[in-house]
Amino acid sequence: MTPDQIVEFAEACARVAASGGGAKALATLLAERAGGGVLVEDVDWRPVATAGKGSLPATARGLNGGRARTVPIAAGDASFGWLSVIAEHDTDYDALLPVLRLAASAIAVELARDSAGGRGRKRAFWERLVDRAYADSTAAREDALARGVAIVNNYVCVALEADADEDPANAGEALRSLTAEAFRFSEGELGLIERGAALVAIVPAAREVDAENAKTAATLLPKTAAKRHLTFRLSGGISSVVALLEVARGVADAEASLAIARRIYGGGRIASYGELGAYPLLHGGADAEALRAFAEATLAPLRAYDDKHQTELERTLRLYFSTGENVKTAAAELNVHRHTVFYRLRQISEISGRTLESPHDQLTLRLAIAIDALHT
Amino acid sequence: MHSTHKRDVIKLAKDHNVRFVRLVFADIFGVSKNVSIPVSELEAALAGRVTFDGGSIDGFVRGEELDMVLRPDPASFALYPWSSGDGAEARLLCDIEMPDGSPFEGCPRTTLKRAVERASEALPGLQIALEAEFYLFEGGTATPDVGSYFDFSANDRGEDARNAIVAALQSMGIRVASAHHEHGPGQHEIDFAYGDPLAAADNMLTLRTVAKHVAAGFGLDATFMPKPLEDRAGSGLHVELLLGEEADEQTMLYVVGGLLDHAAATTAICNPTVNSYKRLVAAWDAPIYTVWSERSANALVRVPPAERPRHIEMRSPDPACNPYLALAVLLGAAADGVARSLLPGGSLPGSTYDLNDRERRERGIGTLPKSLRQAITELDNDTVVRAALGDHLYHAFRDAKLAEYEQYRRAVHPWEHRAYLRLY
Repeated sequence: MTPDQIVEFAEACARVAASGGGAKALATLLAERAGGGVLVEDVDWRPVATAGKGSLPATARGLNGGRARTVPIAAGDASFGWLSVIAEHDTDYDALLPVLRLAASAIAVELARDSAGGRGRKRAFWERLVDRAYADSTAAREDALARGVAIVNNYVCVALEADADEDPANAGEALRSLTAEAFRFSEGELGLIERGAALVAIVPAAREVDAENAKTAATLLPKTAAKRHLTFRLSGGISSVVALLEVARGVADAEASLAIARRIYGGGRIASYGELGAYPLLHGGADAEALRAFAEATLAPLRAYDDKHQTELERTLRLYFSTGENVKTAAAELNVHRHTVFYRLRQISEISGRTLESPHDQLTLRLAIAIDALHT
Repeated sequence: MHSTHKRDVIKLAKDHNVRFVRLVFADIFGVSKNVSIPVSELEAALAGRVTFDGGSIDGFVRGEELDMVLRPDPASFALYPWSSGDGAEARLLCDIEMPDGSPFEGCPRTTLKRAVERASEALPGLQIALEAEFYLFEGGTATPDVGSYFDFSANDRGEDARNAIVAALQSMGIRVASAHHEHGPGQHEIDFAYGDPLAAADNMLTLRTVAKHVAAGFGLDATFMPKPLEDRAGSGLHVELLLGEEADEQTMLYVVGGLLDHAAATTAICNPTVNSYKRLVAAWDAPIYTVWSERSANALVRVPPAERPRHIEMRSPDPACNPYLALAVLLGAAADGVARSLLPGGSLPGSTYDLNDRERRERGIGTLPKSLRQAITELDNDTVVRAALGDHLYHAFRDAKLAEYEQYRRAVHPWEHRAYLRLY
């Protein structure tokens, strides 16, 4: 392919884009020039557009260098997917490469423009939601619709901070990109806003599984950052699942969890509000109602198990603490063998999700029992 | 008795007085096929000069007859534990090539090699162990024992036969980790030691041949049919994946995510017969939902609790599958999970059979296909699993299985006679 032909192709791309042609039109132009089939796929190798002749495979994934030549569709750090040409057997792919890359760049510009236009308007929705600007969920939903934000019923909020010794601006950008990628599995739209030094992700959790995955993805972020050789140290907090209009509370809980994690663990860790147990109460202060709710929520799994199986796990735990963790005395009080007490303590850990060997978890259980005695 | 050099194979054959060598390959259904050659032709065979008519093997070459080349893998040379007249008999597992020496796209063994190579970046150091269940019958479907899980059975020909099968495999250089009586009377399990994925599939192919041969010597029939008896446990082929030393919990979660995400589509390959779907019902701890668990015995994927969990068990495949293709699609699914950072949701603590519709929906739990037809539709819609098979195998497998399903659909079953013949 001569330089003149390449320039001519670039001009053709510009004409197609200027006349409003999107990825499909640019793919068609490329297919005409390459003499084969063209596949445009997103970052997950899902089809976006196809063009040209011949029998196209379902995906070009894994075909690069064989039946196909594939290049990324990217603009700066943003990746939009893959552009592949599937041409005839005797095609000189190296000669095609300049027009393939030109077409990929033109498609990237189109896709970037599509996504950037609404970004500011979308961000304003999330900021208003966190500022409690909506009177009710109908108002929030209508505004989301007007701004093109796809919303769901429930969310998990994640507050993240990157401690970078050098180049904090770059670290912030890398964190934003890492976060957007970590939560891209979600059904519904991810909200990303900056609050002080923290980046807050409002992750849609339409179902329980989405909430579970959001929490897991958040917990894995430091490892993902390390694997990518990002130099910052990541700290964070994760809220419980909250409804759309409770996102402001979720963000506050995530920020509190972040602050507690920094104090308790010294940073470098993502802490979940639910797992921090008593610390959010101690951090933010609480009225009697909140204390009661905390005690009930903490002891609920043990009580439910006792009710269902006619066991004495809650009583065993109370005796274990009240006897100064003396298993022999607790066993005598319960009129069981001490091995039975050990067995029950293991069950308590499993069912409550709190390890009795952990001082943090023990504090939570002790406090729940104390509040239960005082307030109920 | 493994060797990696052609000259060693020739010497071994001579040293052990081998008279015939079977050049073994798998068709698309994973059934062992072979061309037997006198030992005098071994050198020619090792040089890739033995051909066979590819047009006569189902799913290999359509339209015209084509001489295809058998390319033996010298490392697979092994002596069969039975003799051939006054000399020994050996086997070599083969890849299939086109007449011009290029790899044949329909060769299951080559497909697995390609899948292993593709997955090697996402899953370095991955090892596989297969746990194969099967029945030993004596005439029809009568069983030689009344044993159950892990039973000792005195005067049990089934147990004697199973021990002989294990001994035969070991004599061929195959490492067996354990063997035991399974749930149903006459049902047994043989667990292979961990090895590379290709060796794992090779071992399964060998087991089916050896088990049938050895069992026959005891007057028994070995069957790897997934569900030979309506009221007893079906036979599974649990696939144990051991992630490499470098793998952490994150990798484990992504692998589980990939296996679950593609489970509906991999079912067509891992459970390839109409009979397979009579095993995948809510009984005998067979998996029916796309869910993972640390403890539940009937979850699709099980990850035993560990500080750094690297061991993942995929429980749906059955021993009628083509082990090369089953491992190829499972590796493709697992590697896709890593590539796309797919998370599997939370692990399920209890029995999957207890879940109601709402719980499954909330937890994002899907249902495995209930028939071969449904499974093929799922396969059609999954580009990752199709890519793991390659276009040729996907179409050949699909055509063959649709025809099989249509035959089955048209057949009138004994159950229908029992239910309707006198009633209407």
